[in-house]
Amino acid sequence: MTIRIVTDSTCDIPKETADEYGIVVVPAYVNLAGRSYLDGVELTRQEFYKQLPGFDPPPSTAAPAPGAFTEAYDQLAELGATEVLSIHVSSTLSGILNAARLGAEATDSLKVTVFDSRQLTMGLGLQVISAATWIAAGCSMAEIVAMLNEQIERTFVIGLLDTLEYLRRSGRVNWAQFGIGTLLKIKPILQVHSGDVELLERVRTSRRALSRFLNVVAGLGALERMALLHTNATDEELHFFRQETQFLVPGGETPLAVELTPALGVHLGPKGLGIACIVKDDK
Amino acid sequence: MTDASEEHLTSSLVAEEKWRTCNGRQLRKLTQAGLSALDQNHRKVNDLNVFPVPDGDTGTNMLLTMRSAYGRIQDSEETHVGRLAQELSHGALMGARGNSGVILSQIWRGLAKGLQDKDTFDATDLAIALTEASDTAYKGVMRPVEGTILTVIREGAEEANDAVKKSGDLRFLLERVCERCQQSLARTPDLLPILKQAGVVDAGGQGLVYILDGMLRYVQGELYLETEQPQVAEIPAQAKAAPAEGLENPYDVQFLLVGENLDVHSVRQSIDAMGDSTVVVGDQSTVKVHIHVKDPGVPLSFGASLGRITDVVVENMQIQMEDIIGPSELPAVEQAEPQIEPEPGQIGVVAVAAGEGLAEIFLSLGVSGIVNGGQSNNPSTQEIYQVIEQMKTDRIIVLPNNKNIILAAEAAGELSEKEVQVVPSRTTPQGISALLALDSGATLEEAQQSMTEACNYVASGEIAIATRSVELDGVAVDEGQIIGVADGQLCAAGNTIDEVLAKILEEMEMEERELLSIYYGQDVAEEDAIEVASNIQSLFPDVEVELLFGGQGIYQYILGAE
Repeated sequence: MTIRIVTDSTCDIPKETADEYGIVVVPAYVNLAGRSYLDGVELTRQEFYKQLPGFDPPPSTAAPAPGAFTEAYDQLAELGATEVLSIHVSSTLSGILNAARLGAEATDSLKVTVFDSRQLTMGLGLQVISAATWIAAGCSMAEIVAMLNEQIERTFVIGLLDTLEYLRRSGRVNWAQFGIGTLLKIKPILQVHSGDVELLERVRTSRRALSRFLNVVAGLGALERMALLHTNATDEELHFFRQETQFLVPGGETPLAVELTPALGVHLGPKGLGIACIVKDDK
Repeated sequence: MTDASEEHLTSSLVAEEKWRTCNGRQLRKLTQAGLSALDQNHRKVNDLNVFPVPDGDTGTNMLLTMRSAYGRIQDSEETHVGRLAQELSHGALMGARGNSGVILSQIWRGLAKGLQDKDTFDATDLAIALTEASDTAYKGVMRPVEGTILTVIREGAEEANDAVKKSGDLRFLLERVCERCQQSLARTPDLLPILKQAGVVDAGGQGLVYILDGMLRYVQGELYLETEQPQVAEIPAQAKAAPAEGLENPYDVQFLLVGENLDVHSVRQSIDAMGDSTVVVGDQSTVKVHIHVKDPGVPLSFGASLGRITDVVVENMQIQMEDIIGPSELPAVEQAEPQIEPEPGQIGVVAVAAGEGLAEIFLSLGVSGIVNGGQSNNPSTQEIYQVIEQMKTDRIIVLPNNKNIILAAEAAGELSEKEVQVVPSRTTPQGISALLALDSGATLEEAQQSMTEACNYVASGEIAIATRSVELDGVAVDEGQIIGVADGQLCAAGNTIDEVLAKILEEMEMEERELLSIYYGQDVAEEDAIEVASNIQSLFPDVEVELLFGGQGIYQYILGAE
């Protein structure tokens, strides 16, 4: 019995990590200036963020075709896989999971378990990595799914956006419910947990925003794993962010720092910061 | 309230050698006298501003508070002085506007408490009640300040307790209290340096002295009380911004009744029962009738049943009033931004907004109840209370956004059965900062605390035109100059906006700030505001500058720096 993992480009796992575990990453699409690009493949992050504020009309995103998933599953079957764990960005935020489900229905070459991570970016990525280690340890699909379901409860992504402009345009949050008007400049601190996006704080200046952000993350409790997230931070800014978050790092290790893939960046805008983490199980 | 009873009451007060006890009807007349004196002098009270900008309009606020108190009892036949005082207290509380209005309502409240079980009161009772009034007024403010209306009422009460040892005559007591209050008022500049700088006595104290003085002059027979309702035109200019209560008896009906063997007295009694402001005069053959009623048909039919009616005049005063002070509804605020209606159990926020633009900004940030009002048109306790009551939820935070509205907001909160907390935001930027700190998952107390703390995150500035010349806080101001206020302190006066701005931004420590929000007022053209904003941007290139339409009066610009 061989289990392999399929995910999508919104997981933000570095290519080396994916290669190390044999994880297949299916790219989403970014529609830009009348053309469709394969997220993370045909469009580099640096180029994309540099130009993001200037794009007119603003870029949009699209889920991969179900066929792209079918193709990925069939290829893994040919390589000897008997089962696939297809784990994706939260179905509350994207249609990718549904595309994977349809893609899975179109193949009978192997058994596909489509799993909703109820997360995005490294919130999804950390779960993918956990699943890969459990596969390596010889766990069954049923055991992996059970452990993932438990871990989801402890997985958080906390984001600090520089502007609301991009998220508003995305139409993916209910503004009225958030009480974030469009008149004033506001930096929101958002939390994604178990598929729900929640507005935690509304801050006006970057200085207070960072301190509130760190407080929010610290308030989650001791962390088991974490990753730093950003959209087009300079090396200097990233260095500063690393220093500021050092006290949160479990066991003093150096956490992964990833720049969000354009398919997410489209909706979040430049100069955003974030942390994806799994809180320690204190039971 | 007919001429006959008027004369009787006045003469009974004046004629008696000593005036030993006061009943409910007499207290009603005293209140009317106090109101009348304040009405005649409220503009003088308004002029006692410390800042050379229309500032809370103390005289207007106190007048509207007194009107509301008297309005509650003007048609009352209550003779029990305790019950009448209770009604007065309730009326004052509902109509309380501005800090001085709220303190005045607390004075009434204390007085009513002191008199609550009294059928009539004597000098000893009044001295005790005045002490209660003073104590209640002090408790009505978080940090009592001497050199204000508080000092005046306290010393007045002390004098009453002294006077009662010498004589049981209420007239003597009132004379002594008035004299002492006047002396106390004259000393307010010695107690409160800012009054001395501005060369004025305390406005609230002055308002109280006018009220007491009116009562005394009435008792001495020097103040004649009109039986007519105050004329519509007498409503102070500032009341224009406030919603008018719908008139209870909107029709003014006048006619001549011509007949034979008419009984003027019984006609007057019948007419009197139909409405208010009754005047019925005449003889057996001709009676002139004037009354304010709900249904003009009622007195006309009555008249026609007794004889011929001629010279009929029917006018709708509600319409006349609306022509002068505008319709009795608040102007609708455009709600282009998302608006949240909190469900029962959730925290809802009520904000006082000084302009339509500011109202829209508050709504966009999750406020669900707007009370219109600001610098010179402080909303009454009742207006704030009504908005609180309209909300579906019963957990409410109020943002007064003006130092002169905080007390009225607190009084409204106490009045409500709902759980209400007031965040003492003194400026619009503080209110916005507080609102952004609202954590809807917190308890109401926690939310109030963190929002209050958030008021300190922002430095506030205001720019206005000086309405008079003054030297204050070391700044010499000429009438008509542009003045700048930073966090409540006058800091600049000049002839160009640029020089005033430069000073104000320095006071606001702009070098240390990241973000400047500029809210421009209703009298500022958008082009001018854009120019001001871009000038500031070039002075402080690292600061993010945002320009928004506030629509407020008085202040051309309100600035918030974080």
